[in-house]
Order: sequence, then structure tokens, then C-alpha cells
Amino acid sequence: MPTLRKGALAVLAIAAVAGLIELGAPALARAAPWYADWASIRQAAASISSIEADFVQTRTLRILSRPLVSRGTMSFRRPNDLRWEYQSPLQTLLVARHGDVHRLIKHDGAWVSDASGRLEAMKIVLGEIVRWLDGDFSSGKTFKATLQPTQGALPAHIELVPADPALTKIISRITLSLGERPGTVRALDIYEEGEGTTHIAFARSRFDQSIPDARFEPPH
Amino acid sequence: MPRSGLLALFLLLACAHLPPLAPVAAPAAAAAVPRCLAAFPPPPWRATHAIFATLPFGYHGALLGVTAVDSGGVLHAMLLAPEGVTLFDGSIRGSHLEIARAVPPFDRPAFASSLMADVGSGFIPPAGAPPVIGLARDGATVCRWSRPGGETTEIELAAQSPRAIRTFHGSHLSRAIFLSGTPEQGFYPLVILQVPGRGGYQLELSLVDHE
Repeated sequence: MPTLRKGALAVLAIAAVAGLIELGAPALARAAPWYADWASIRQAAASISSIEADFVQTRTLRILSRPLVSRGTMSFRRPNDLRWEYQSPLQTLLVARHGDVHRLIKHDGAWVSDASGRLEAMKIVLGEIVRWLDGDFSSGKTFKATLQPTQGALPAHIELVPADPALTKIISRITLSLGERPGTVRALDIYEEGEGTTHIAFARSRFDQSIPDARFEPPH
Repeated sequence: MPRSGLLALFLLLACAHLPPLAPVAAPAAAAAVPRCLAAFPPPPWRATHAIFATLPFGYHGALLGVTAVDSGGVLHAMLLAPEGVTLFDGSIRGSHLEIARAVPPFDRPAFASSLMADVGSGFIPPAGAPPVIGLARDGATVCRWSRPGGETTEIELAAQSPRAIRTFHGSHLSRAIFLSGTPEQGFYPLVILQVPGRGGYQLELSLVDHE
């Protein structure tokens, strides 16, 4: 999901491996970006076996002059293992392995089960993440996705709008800014009608590393 | 009987079923009032808290809380999921409650008024007549505000600063708030709110930021 920060060389190297471009400038000019369509996005995402990254979540609100900043880490292992951990100011953890999902909260040094995992609002956001990490933005029933190409300084992004109008009362839209590395997203923004934005930016991304099973299981 | 005497008698009757307070000397009583009011940040203010909730049946929850009081006394309270999604957004001026957003299960009829009462008890000074000042059984100085037919609020002082706020409906404790750590402009690093009884709960509010 997060972007790779090694720049254009890495993008070109990976794209070459993926057969997206040929050698030489004329071929390079003709090459379609990895996000040309849904199929190419899914193909690019499939080339990544795992991702680990840090993230910073910045929540802006009308009543606050300073945004509310949360920090955490995420891990993803194909096909659908996920760890999403907030380290501050709350310490919460979501782990999903083979479809077995646990939400926990750290309290007084121990992890306890989180009843709010039953909340629909949370399921909406986190339930979609595994699908997105798999490069699948178009088949979800919760959101309608449109692909927006690079426009001037605005990078290519995917815009997701709730399919159910009732859901727009909670989330009006989500944008996923695509990363330089094929199959990755560098940031996402969650918009709420009349109430600011949640921006999540990824950093220190590590790809295709072996991640132990325990990372996707609830801590004991 | 002078008016001040009538008022004192009335307040004593109103507190008849509350924990008894031993009298204190007038100078000590006068000095206690501003110390009790130091439990509350002076408006206008804005604050964010990380909230750990212990709910009935052993459930736990984690939320982000955003509260603000403007110079006109309007209290604004928001609850956010850790992921940033707004779950509740409401404000209250006096008794006029406005709900801008309430996502299930925070849309239950009594939730908004209970939340505002919780937040108000912890962050807004009690209104009404001057408090009765006295000593609790353990020797702590207590300021007690009573409203006829309404809620009674008392603030318990420790040596340096307030350490607890309690509210009562009649003689029954309806809410206990414990203030922990060294306060900064009326904001405590940790505030623990307990609502006793069936359906009771506990909220631990860790201060993240204030302005």
C-alpha cells in the first residue's frame, strides 16, 4: 500500500520486470502507467507479497486549530493477512489472519478485547483495506470507485464514493493517492460531510519481506 | 431570620441525605471556593483526550474525545473512532442540546444527554448558589453546590489541588470523577469518570492536547 521512496529508478526497474515497458526511450514514452486501468492495478498489486510500513494519521476538525495526530504501523501479507496498529495516542490493534479478525486495546500494559469492533463505521473503513491492498478497487459493493489520472501537480488517485447514500452521512468519499511503485498507495484521505478530513500517509515502507505469522495473530 | 441564614438553612436541608460535612471556619471556607473551582479549565478552551471505556458486561472500547467550551458557555463534544471517523458530534447551551451527528450505537435517545452530563460534570463549574464548604469524614475539604430539585455537585480538595468531583441525584451518587496528576490550566493528565449501578460504566480520559 505505501509508496517506495527510492524514486524513478526503482519504478523503472520494477516496471521493466513486469513487462510494462521496453528498453529505449521510444518504448518508454509509449508505456502505460501501472494504474492505467483496474486490471493493470490488480496485476501490479499482485506482484507484492507483503508490505510493512509506518503511518501518520492527521485528523482535522473545525473546532480544533491543531490537528489530532495518531501514529502507527501496518503489515499486510498476501492474500489477506492484515495488522493495523495505532501506537499513539490510543494503543489499539486490529489483526486479521485467514479471515479471523480481532480488535484489541492496550490498557495498563495488557491487551484487552475491543467491543467497538462491532461498530459499523469502523468495519466500513477497515473492511475495505484488505481488498484495496489486493489491488481490487472496483469489485467492492460498499464504494463506487473511479480512477483519476495524473492531472498537473495532482497525482493519480482513486476516488471511492459510498454506494449507499445513507453511508455518505458517515463518509462522503475516500481518495487513495497512488504511489510511484506499482501496486502501492502512498496516502489516503477520508472525507466527512462538513467535518474535515482524515489523512493517512505511509512512510518507511518495506516490501516483500518475510513476516512471521504471529504478527497477524492476537498477542497473548 | 436574615436572608443569609435562610439560605444556609435551605442548603442544609437540601443536603440532608448527603454525606455529612463538618463545618469549617469562615476564612478557610472562603479560601476553599477558588481552590475547588480550579478543577475546571477557564473558558474558552479546547481539548482532546484518548478515552478507554469499560462498559457493562465487561466490554471495552477505545475512542478519541474532542471537547470545547466557547466564551458563551456552549459545550461542544465529539467522539471519534481511532480511525478518525466521527461517531458523535453534539453541543449544548444551557439545556438546549443539538446533535450534529450520531452514528449507531451513539444515536440512542439517552446517549447524548448522558454524554453531555458526563463531560459537563468534569469540565464545567456548577452553576447556582454559593457552595456549602465543609470537611468530609476523612478530613478532606469539600465544596458542595446544590440545586433545588436538581443535581448536587461536590468537589473534594487534596493538599495541592482538587482530586475528585461527585454528583448526586438526591442522596444517590450518580457520578464520581477522579482527577489525577498535576493539572495544567485546569486540565489533568488523567480523568477517571465512574457511573455506578446497573448499566454503569467507567471512562478513563488521558489528556492528549489542550489549547
